[in-house]
Amino acid sequence: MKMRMHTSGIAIALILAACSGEANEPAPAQEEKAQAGPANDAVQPEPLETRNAYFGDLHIHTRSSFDAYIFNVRRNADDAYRFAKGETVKHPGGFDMTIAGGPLDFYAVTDHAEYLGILPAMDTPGTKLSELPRAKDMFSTDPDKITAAFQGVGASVRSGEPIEGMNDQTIMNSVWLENVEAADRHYEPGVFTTFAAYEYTSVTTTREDGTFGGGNLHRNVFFRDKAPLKPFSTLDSTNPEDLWDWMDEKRAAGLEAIAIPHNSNVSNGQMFKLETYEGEPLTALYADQRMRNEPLVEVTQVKGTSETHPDLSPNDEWADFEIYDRLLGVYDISKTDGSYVRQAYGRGLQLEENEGFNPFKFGLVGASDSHVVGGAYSEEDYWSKIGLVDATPVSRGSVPMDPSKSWDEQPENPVTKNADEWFSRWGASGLTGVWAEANTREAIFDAFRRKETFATTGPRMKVRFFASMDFEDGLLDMPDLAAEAYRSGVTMGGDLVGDGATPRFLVWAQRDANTVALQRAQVVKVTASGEQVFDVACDQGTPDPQTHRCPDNGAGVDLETCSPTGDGAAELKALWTDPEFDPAQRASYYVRVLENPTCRWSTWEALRNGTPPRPDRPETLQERAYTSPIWYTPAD
Amino acid sequence: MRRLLGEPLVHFILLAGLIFLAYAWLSDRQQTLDSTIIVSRSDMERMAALYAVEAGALPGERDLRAMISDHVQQQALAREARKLGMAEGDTVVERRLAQKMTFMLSDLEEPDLPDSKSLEAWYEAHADQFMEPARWSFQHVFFADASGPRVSEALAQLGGTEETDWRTLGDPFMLQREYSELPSREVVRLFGSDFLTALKALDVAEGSWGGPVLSALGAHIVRVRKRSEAYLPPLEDIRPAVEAAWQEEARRAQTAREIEAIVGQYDVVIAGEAYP
Repeated sequence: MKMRMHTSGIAIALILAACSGEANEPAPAQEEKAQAGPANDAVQPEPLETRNAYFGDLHIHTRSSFDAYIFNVRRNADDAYRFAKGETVKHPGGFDMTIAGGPLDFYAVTDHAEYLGILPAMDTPGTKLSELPRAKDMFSTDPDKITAAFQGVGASVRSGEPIEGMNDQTIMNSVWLENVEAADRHYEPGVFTTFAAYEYTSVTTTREDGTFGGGNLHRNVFFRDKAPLKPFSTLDSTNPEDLWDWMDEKRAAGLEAIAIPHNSNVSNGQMFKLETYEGEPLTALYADQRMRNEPLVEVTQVKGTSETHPDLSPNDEWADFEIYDRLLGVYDISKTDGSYVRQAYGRGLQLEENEGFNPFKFGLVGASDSHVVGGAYSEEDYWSKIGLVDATPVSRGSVPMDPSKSWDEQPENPVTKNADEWFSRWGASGLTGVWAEANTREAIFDAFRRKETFATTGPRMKVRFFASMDFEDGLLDMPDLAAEAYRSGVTMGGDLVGDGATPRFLVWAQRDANTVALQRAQVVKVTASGEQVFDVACDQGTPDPQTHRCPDNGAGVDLETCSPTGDGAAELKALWTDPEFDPAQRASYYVRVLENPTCRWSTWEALRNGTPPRPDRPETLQERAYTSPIWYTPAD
Repeated sequence: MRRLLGEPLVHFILLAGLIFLAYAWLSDRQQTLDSTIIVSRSDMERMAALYAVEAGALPGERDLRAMISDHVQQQALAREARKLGMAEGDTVVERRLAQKMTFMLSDLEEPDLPDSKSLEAWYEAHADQFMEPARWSFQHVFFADASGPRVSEALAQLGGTEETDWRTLGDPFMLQREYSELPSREVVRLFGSDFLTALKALDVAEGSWGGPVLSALGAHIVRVRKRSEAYLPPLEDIRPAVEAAWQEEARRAQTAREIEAIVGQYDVVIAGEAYP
């Protein structure tokens, strides 16, 4: 007899993965422990002075996340790490998931801390939790009851008010320790790095009825080498500043941690708003605390891009990349202002100039936010991220609903509506690149701290970025270029202090050997008064000195087969000077590297189905990488 | 009419009709038998509908078969559990019971380790799981652009008698100029599969420079310092890992056997066909 997992939950389509919340729990007397890690007695790899590029995903959910379990996800943290190391794992939809581009160097399971592991317990006969009326509804066959029960959990995560009987601290703590132990078990210094981590699920709401539909303020929290006995969740406080207080306390007790916010694009303008959570004016203390605890921001993931928006960057021809602006779980549109990284960089510099502090001096990472233990990083092999709900091309809206073969007469129902509003707008992204001396917890975490990171939308292109007043003309041809750049420059995430001279920037990008070649490398300059995108290295020719644009390299895609056409660069390298440099003006500079065009996932799925690509989504896209900025500060 | 007959949906309805006739006939005879599991037309329609909602398409024959197989297994386990007095109830309870029964079965005592000889045989049969990958230790001189005489000049220089610091030749390389013990799949991850193929084919004496070898990144003159083939480590070196893997598999097999034994106590009748 053949065993096959079958999915039963149906109409959860109305709900969406989301999260948020808060509640109050007596703080355990003392915590500090977990994660000893095999690192101490294992052989430590030799550090590499010029640092290596390591790639990983810092945002992964398993069955222990309350939403993932409802999406029929049954795989655990061990499965997640196995996936990252190259093993094939089953999707809840029954098909195989294998990681695109080979094993990753690091990976972190970040289950929602709120009700961690509670839904699986509610679904286990014989437990006290399974006797709750909510458990009976949640795992009934009545879609309305399931929806109501699940919405109730979401509302509690959002409000921070725990649901009576469900807030079982013993279970949550033990599942947390299981996740910490899984991370320890799979950590192999020099080969594969894991972190003890979780998601803090704060979200505001614009709705009176307590359902979803608000600003996403989620953060993932990572511990360097020791983990606490329990995570701080929205059931402790929905205010992220309270999370920072908690992290500060932990750090003082020897537990080094950072938090990485994500999906500012759907924060309804709140992630980078110019006031505190409670609406008070920002202060230097706020900025210090924020930067101490949140040196990085996740800029790309399945639920869209947080770099910038066409409305904010009308002169950036590439600003319209995988834009997603629906608030969590609803069709409402997120406010653009205050939701994007590039704008925040500018506002941070403004604050610095006017008030003397900058709360937005963060670096960049990418991740998938997959809820099915494995990220879909390749356009060609995509499974979105919320289990049964978006498991098929039809549910993702890349192919018309049967029996129609055309887009003209699509039925109107919850599946097509969700595909239209949500899933067809999601993307196959992303990864974090770090420059670190070795593949260990310590070296990679310290790279996070230094912000020596870059984000990619899936491929593993590598980008180096340095600035210095002292770079010499022949720099690009020096045999030990990377060593020399470290010696005489600052790298991504760092500060360049002016001395009256004009800095030079080293931009150096290498393609992913297993995807397509590169088209151009750009420097994005942001100041308190504006932004500008400069092409600095081109596949063919050089940037036009007036328009700062590369000549078209003629690369494209054959839409009949999705094969790329035309040539591209294996490597792009430039020693660049800002033609509009003003030594008296603060500025931040980051690099964006574009691959040649490829088919978007929705086009691949349409091609395989023999139907035309969905007309209201782009057929092709240009995968990209974003580095953390270098900040220029004038001499006093 | 002919076109209509070509539609999968019509096929499905016709098939369902046939199954219904068969079912009507069978159900007269067997519905009352306790040890019989009947998969009725409406069962199948329900499964198909559920599938259609989730997948956006009707199930194919294989899908339907898999669903029936799950259903039968669930029924058998649920009845068994009920016999043990675990509970009584609706579909949801049955599903829970079957899960509980499965869990109980998989929680049986730890399988004993096999004798050394059997373990060895098992190890060899599962060699894929335990292979150490081929590894490469090499140095390379990189050329972003392979045109012109630069590559051959460098190659001549390296082959000459004069002492040359190979690290100063070619173009700067963004990552490492020297790798040690790099597994083949890492070679592919960094340089692409063409590079690995060319590396394997590189025909120069150990310690000498050869090439150029082309990769997705450019051209490389390469000196292979050490190449170790993929191999299966001696069992003794990794015995604990092998034993753990053996036990895991034995436990799974044991559970599957128990389930099969329970299902085997039932006669299964599926409308329209004998099962399995």
